[in-house]
Amino acid sequence: MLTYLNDQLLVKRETNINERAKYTANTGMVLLNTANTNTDGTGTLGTIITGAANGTYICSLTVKGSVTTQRGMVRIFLYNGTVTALIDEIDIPAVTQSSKTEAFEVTYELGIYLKNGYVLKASTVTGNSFIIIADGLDYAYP
Amino acid sequence: MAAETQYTANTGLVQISTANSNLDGTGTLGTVLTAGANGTLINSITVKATGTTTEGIVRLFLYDGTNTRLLNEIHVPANTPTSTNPSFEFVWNCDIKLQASWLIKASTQNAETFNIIAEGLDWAYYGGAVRPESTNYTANTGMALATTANSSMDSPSSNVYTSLTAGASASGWKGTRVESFNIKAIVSTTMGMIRLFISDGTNTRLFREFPIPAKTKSSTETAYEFKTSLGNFNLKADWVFKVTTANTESFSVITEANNWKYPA
Repeated sequence: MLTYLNDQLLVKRETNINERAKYTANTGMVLLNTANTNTDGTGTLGTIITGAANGTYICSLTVKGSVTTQRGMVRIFLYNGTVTALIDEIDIPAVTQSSKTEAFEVTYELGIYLKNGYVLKASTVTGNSFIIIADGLDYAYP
Repeated sequence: MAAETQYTANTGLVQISTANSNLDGTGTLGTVLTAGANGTLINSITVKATGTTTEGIVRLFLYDGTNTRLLNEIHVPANTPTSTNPSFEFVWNCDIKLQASWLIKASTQNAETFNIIAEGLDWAYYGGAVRPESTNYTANTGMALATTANSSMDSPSSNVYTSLTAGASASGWKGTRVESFNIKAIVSTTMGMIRLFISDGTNTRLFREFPIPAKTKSSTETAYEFKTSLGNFNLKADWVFKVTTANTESFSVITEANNWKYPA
């Protein structure tokens, strides 16, 4: 990608010189609105993103409420085709959404590699509506 | 084929002097710069008065060949240049990647003379095979005018405006890297919200919300504007960014992004 540095010539923010890889955007998105209090991977889960052939690099994960939220939890799970394992819990505060106040929103910079076929899933404890968005990049080699 | 980047300076220059108080892109505008074939990287835009100024505003617009949308307003103070006092001068370090063939235009609120200078670089790619993973970027500038209220937080079906469409997979694009999101009101605003949605072609889901404050614009006060980084968000090919406004107030929404592909 191209960018300027102050008072310097144009530089590349990112280059493939040492990467030797090709990337394809893999944006994951799911709406959660069914309450699930389980931490063992059972019950209703939404699929956020699935790792591609060589894997998928997850840059960030955004949790965005689309309603007034009660205090609760969004849970993130990793599914390997057999086991669904809890890997993180995100505290949700009580937020009253209005035309002037935004609903709950948080973005995490992840920087994790998801194995081929592995799946990131999510659940909501309260049944409040949340959209989970993963900024992912599939990669391949020339 | 592979790619190595090559740059060509593209300096834009125009002199404007005809009064134009419009924020909607109508009236007399000067063309500052036209983007090159893959896009143009605009480092800065300089506004330089050539004489005495009264308090006013210089406005910068984007033109996509059809629509002209407000990008930024630069407040101009009253100033009388002398042999020891320079005329008004402002440099906006904008760092914008402008889509191919799009134009930067400018206007002045008052009938006073300004030189508008854009420092730009066109980029191109060496045509020979260099490395198979060499990446080509093409600027993909999104632009929408959101006007009519919609308070929906999920799957809005009306009064939802397309602000950016990622590169088409059928054309070989691997996705679109979104750098920034620019909201520019063209009217006085009341407290409200601009909402950004992601659509995969079937579902349209809320992604971000941007609160809008109350602000009264005038011939000397700029309308509300806000720019935020989207952290180089990688949007899947063919997917779409859409926006809504909570109030029936007009906003120019400009998304700065680049499609990428591998030519080899």
